[in-house]
Amino acid sequence: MATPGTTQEEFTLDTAAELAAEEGGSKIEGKSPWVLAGRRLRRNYTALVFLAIFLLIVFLCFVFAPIYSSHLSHLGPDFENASGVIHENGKTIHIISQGKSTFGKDGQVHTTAAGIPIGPQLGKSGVAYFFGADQQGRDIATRLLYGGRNTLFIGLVAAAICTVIAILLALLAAYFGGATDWIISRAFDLIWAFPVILLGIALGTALNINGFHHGPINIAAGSLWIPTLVIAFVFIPYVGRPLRGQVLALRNREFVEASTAQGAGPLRIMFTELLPNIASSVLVLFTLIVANAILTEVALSFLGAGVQPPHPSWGTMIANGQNFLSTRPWMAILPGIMITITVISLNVFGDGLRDALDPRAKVKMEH
Amino acid sequence: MRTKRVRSVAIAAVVTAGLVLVVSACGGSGGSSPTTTTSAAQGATFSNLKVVWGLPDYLDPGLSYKLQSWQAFQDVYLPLLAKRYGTCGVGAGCTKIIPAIAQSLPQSNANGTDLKFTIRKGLKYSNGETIKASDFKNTIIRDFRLNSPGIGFFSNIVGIDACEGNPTKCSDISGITDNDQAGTIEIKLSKPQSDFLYILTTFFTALVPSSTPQKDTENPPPAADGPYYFASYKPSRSFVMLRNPHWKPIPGIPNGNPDKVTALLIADQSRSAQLVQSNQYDYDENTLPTDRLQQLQKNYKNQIHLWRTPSTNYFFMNERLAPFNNIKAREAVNYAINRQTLVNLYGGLGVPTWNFLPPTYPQYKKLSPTPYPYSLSKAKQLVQQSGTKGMTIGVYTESDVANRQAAGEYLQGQLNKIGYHAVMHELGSANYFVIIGNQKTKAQIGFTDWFEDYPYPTDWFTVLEYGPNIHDIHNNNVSNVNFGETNNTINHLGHLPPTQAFSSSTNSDWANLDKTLMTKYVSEAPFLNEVITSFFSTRMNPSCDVFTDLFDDVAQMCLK
Amino acid sequence: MVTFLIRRVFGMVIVLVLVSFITYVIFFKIPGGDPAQHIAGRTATPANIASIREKLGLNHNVVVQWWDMMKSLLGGTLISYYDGTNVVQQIKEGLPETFSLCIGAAIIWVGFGVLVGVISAVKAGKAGDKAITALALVGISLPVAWLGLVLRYLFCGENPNGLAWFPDGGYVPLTTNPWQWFYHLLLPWFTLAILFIGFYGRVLRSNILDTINEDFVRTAKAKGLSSRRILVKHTLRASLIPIVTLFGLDFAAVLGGGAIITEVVYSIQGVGYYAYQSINTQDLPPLMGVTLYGAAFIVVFSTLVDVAYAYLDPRIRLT
Repeated sequence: MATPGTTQEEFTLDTAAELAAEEGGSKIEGKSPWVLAGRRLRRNYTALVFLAIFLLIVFLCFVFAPIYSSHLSHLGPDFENASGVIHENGKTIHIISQGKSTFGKDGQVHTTAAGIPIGPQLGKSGVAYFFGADQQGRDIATRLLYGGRNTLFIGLVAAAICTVIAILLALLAAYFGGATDWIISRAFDLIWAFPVILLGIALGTALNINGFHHGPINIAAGSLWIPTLVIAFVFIPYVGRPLRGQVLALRNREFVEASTAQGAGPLRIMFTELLPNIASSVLVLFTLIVANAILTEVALSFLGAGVQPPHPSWGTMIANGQNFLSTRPWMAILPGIMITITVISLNVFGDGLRDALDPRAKVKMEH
Repeated sequence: MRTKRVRSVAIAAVVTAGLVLVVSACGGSGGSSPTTTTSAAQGATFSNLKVVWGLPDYLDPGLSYKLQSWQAFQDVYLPLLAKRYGTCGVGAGCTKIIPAIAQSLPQSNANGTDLKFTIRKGLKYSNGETIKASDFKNTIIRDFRLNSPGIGFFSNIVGIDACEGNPTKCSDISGITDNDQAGTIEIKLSKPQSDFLYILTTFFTALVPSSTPQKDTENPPPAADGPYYFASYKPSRSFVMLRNPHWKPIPGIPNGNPDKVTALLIADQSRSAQLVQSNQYDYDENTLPTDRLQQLQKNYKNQIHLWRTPSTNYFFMNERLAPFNNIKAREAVNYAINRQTLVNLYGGLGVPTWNFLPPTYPQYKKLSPTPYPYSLSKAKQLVQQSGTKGMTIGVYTESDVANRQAAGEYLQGQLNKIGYHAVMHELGSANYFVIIGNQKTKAQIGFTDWFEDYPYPTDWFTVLEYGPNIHDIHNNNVSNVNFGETNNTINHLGHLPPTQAFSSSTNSDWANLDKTLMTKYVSEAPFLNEVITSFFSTRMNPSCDVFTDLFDDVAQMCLK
Repeated sequence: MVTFLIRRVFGMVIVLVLVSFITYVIFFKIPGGDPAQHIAGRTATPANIASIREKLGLNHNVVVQWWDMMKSLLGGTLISYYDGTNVVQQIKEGLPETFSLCIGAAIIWVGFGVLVGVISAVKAGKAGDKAITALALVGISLPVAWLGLVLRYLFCGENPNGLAWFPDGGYVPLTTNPWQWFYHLLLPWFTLAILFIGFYGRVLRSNILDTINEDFVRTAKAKGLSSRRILVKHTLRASLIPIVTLFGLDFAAVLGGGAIITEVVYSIQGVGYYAYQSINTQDLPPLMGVTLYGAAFIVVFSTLVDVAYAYLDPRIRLT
């Protein structure tokens, strides 16, 4: 917003305010906030580009993966080929390098080192082993795709579960206030006081050995649901607190009073009056949590408490790649690149979403 | 022992072999005359040996059950008898015993159930206390009070029942009597036991002062009777060994070249290799990591030694549960694993094997022709014939040791290829053996290993393949091997009088037992003997590297 | 103020008690976690296991056992099931390393974070802002474990054909060799800080820009202060307030073991590394120790932050 007497460029504001500033008068009369938001988003090309990148990655991992596996590489993500060979230019190359040992009488062994998987073939032997093999002779490219599937599944589902629970708790806490609020807020404090990684590791390790078999819930050990639920649980306060704050602010507004006066019950008020008004925060927080959930999955798998073998995931691929860092660095580097691109896309799109929904939004990831 | 710790109860209780007088029975190399130290020339002393070392479990000889601890103990804590301090190579050399704190090998009655020792005079611990005969019994009692992993070794001593029943209240063992004035110790066994002299070389029997507290003592560790003592120990970080100020030379035991050994404790193999490669440290106790081995071998060829160890890595197959209660299924597994591939997965640090005993044993006879040449088709056929095709199998392995994880995942892949539906259970190594040793886990198949505790086959067959040694928890016979014929053989071969325990016909009998178990009963699927590495910095002279059967000896290392 | 503090301290104690109890329960029932079997090791006759259980008090119910463990932890006598070491002692030994790592990283991330935030606010909307924002976004999107590995590969000699500008992890005590201490910590500091720099930069930037539009700044503008830079100076104090709260909580989290991944990747044996080892061995006593240690930092700092917030922003009243 330029004021007279100053140069326009000194006060060029950020994208959000710019977008808001261009709207005025007839352009916004009578239009719902969602339509306006959609319009702003459409004009934010950067955010749209990154959304497309994210969707492309999702497509590759969920839709393209089986196609790649069946028709291009002809290798499954779990297919171990430790004794296998490939043929290139008439030469036979072992997928895991072979060694040879001879023995001295004094017990000493003379051996040629072995065990190094082949590096990126980049198409030299068909599409197979495009990015090389991992320590078990499995195709890295195929595992990148299927691993992405698992990582994205965990990220999206964990964020969804977390958000749903957080919304419920935030609504209950802010609407009923009093003891309910106190209990739920202390619960948030409690989860939040646990050092996140430790809590994730503790739960992940404890549950991964035998699974969770209580009551109607039956999760096998090593199932993907374990890291998913653990991550969802750990992030509840991160969504719950800001939402609770927002609902508290809305709680005493006139429209709520009016609704109460009309005889609406708590459930009705929570879900038809309050919830829609925090929807924009929910959306923004959701994208942020997906990004953080993916990063947390990587951390947990790296420390051995996340996804269990043989399920591939980007996190476990980095952990496995550690052992071959000096000879086959791409084993660890590639999954990391995928993760970084995915998370950047989510963050940029999340930013754009936030700008579009409320140009001067004060909603951030609050602690 | 397993490389990570587990041992089971009372292995010696069922070992009733005759006592072995090793000197006369073994290859006859020089009789009983003590060998001179095999270290480098006199005057090879130097001030500080800096080493990188893997993490010990404890530095208390009553409690430690890890190679990382024992490798240091060989120069710190001396038992009555000790294994020879030279590179033993293969075969009989590895079974030679020399007297350490004892003046000489014991006098014994005909079937070895009454042993009399006299300890050397005038010896002192590093804290100045005199070494007394009664320290031996007190050390054993202390082991019980500590609930030591080694107390199973002593179950054949007369009067041990009171202590076995309630270890933490152990106060006396009637079968051990001593006389401090004369410096004599008499040990009575209830039955002949061929490996008892070997048991007296384990560090659980290493003498510590009677004044040592009867609880885990690591700050600092107990006073030493060897050429060095532990001056300090910081768990997971470092330890320091200094010369024992009260050490009096004992023939056959190296006096030690370095004045001081400074050890940095590092579990990460890559980092420890890096520290020696950059000459910041002199010796790497850890094995070199697979992805560095090739490059290091190229550039530092002369500074790296590879040693075959008396160990076997194998896949256990639980014979109490389907599908491996079916012998055809067990055969299928043996055909389905390509042992050379497994060696490759270990980076080449292994020797393929189809035997249960490692080749370093005099009782080892290589199975010839190779019983299970790699053949997926044969394996599939056997699975078909067994009627167990399509079953779900849980494969267990350690998650945090790269080689073992690779071996387990390889097995899973192969099982899937021959018609099963195999899933992984990867567990941290700290609790791995406790979990698979528990019958309730119902582990069907998985990785396991055994390293020698002492060089006699009872340490293998009685512990790992003997029916009466199956337990509900802490079961070392994880496959639940229980065949009448082999049980009898193990029992019989373990009951031999001293003169027969090392005869060539007995050696053949042990070798045949190995063959019977592996080919007739197919009790396990062994695949390799581990090879470990010794890596020296440029200032060290690699030819001083002495490998005393299980590990290098820091006392004998020298500079160029 | 006093009542506020009393109430908060009371709340903190409750939270800590619950944190420790929940940790205990989580590990209480996992298979392979029976400490008696573990300690008994090889001996494992039923008599041994029974006597160990008796000695450790494992036959009492959960609450009694938990309380015993808490008593020995607070009394400094708690020992590990796995190797008999004193838990509090081990944590103390890890403190210099964790503190060196976290305090150094904190200085870097606050310094650079503020710098990044201010610069991008001043140049808002222009190319410089977009570039810095992009870098910041990359910074917060990198998985820490992976970043550590990549840096080690590129600069620590993991790559046989590459550079070895930095030592490959490890820690040298300040008292032993200050230069080496510093040199060994450079990469870990950077790895740990990069995530926060980006985040703080963006938060500060958006705070500044929001505050610029607030009334008191409009008044300042009306009074004739036209330069962007001067305005930023005026708004900085108000904009920094949320940063203070964020920093307090982040710093606490990192000190309390949140740097576990950086410590593991660079083999810095601080409290986080100790926690990692204990997780691997499923060793309950150290886990109790580190969890409580971490939670204590978080709750204490969160109280401190609330007090600081009230002090800095006169509109806030502590309740």
